[in-house]
Amino acid sequence: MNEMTSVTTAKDWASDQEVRWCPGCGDYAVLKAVQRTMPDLGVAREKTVFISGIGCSSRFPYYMSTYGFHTIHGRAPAFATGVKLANPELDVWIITGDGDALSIGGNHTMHVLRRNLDCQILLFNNEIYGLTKGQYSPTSRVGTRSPSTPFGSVDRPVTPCAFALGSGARFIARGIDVHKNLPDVLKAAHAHRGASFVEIYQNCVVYNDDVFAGFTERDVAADKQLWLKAGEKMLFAGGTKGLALDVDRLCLKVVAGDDPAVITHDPKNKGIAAMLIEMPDSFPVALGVIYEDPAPTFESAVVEQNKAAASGKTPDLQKLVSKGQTWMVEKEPHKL
Amino acid sequence: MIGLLAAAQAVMSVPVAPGPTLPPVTSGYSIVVARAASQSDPQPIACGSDFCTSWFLGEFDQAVTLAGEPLPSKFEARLEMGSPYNMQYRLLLLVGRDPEGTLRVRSTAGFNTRTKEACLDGDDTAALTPEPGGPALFKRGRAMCTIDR
Repeated sequence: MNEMTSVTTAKDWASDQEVRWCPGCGDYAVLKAVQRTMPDLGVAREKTVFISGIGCSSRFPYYMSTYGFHTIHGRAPAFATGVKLANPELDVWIITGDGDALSIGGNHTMHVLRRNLDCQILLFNNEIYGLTKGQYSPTSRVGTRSPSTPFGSVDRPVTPCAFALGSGARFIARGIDVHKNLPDVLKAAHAHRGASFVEIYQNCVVYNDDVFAGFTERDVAADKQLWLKAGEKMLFAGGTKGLALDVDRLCLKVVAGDDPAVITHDPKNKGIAAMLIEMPDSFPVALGVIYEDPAPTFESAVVEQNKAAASGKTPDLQKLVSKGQTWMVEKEPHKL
Repeated sequence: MIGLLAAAQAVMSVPVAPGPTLPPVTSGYSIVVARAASQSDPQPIACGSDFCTSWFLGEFDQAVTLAGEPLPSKFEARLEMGSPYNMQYRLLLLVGRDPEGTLRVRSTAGFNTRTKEACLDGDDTAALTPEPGGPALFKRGRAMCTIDR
């Protein structure tokens, strides 16, 4: 997050490029949500950078009227780290997908999270490789039939937020592409100083349509979505159900909404966050800010370290290049 | 062969800039749900950039007119895009007419399969006269939407 103020509208954040995803793709909704949210953040376009890897979602920087990089597969975190170190004043957003962030770039994602670079990471999870026409991805469920798994995937999928928590992320949230709460999740991510990891359930209309219907369809949404708010009870199903801690088994259980045992959401509770992230199918899906516990950021530590190392010293480039073993070339080298 | 494929992929990945903004559609419009069956015959548009969109000749079928001038179930209309669609999509379209009668798609929206909704941008439909109505259309904010049942 940066200390900047700027008055803009959503249109100011839209570029002049032709937006090109499959008609009906959830990416359109996320793009609109981001463009609508940016004016509320009070940030300046010239201080904002969107960095992506490869995949459908990674076309995102073209469509934002900001600085941007469409980089190489899985390596957006490395570019983002360089950008932020070179200019810590910049507001850095990483746009990635489940394949880009968790397969090809799994190692980079882990390190940007544990380092706690001050940036927002939006992971568009559609549980498939859409750009390459529908192969199964690291988040595809067991049994997913795809061109690369014609008999159904036998891989056990990774849970992105569990991966983030295990990697040391200090901010973990979830949203849904077309849900009205997505802008609030984005604002919370931006307000957090450090690496903010946001998993966005994004519907791929062509290769994995309705894969999230089990908790996003209107008729099941109330029962299957738990929107978390700090300091508020963990209630769902219109307040008729809630989550409580089963102390004997050290896990969560569903209780009546008026049960005094219903837990109040404390985003700093890492243990509960781990349980919320990996609730079984019979539970609702935890959405909103699941975990937030700020810690010093990577770039601030690097800047401080550099400042300390340079303190009291006079810059001398000649002295630096003459340091250690040096050679004088007195003659032209022998020609072969 | 690999080099050719890489080059083709690079060309397909190039972002393209749209052409100059056309005056908004006012009258003689059609709001229609149709399937984009194919796109061919691209007419390049000068946009001041190295890579611009083109006016493709779009073939549409399974069309149902929701408001405005009725269109047949199959029709052809020019459609601005960078490259043809990778498959056939069902779309909500705002179709205008050039003075000489050429149909020109002026706004498109895909259907969200979860909500079954498609919404045309409010800016594209704001100047339509008479204002589109009918049971199939509704407003969501400024956007003009329909639900594909």
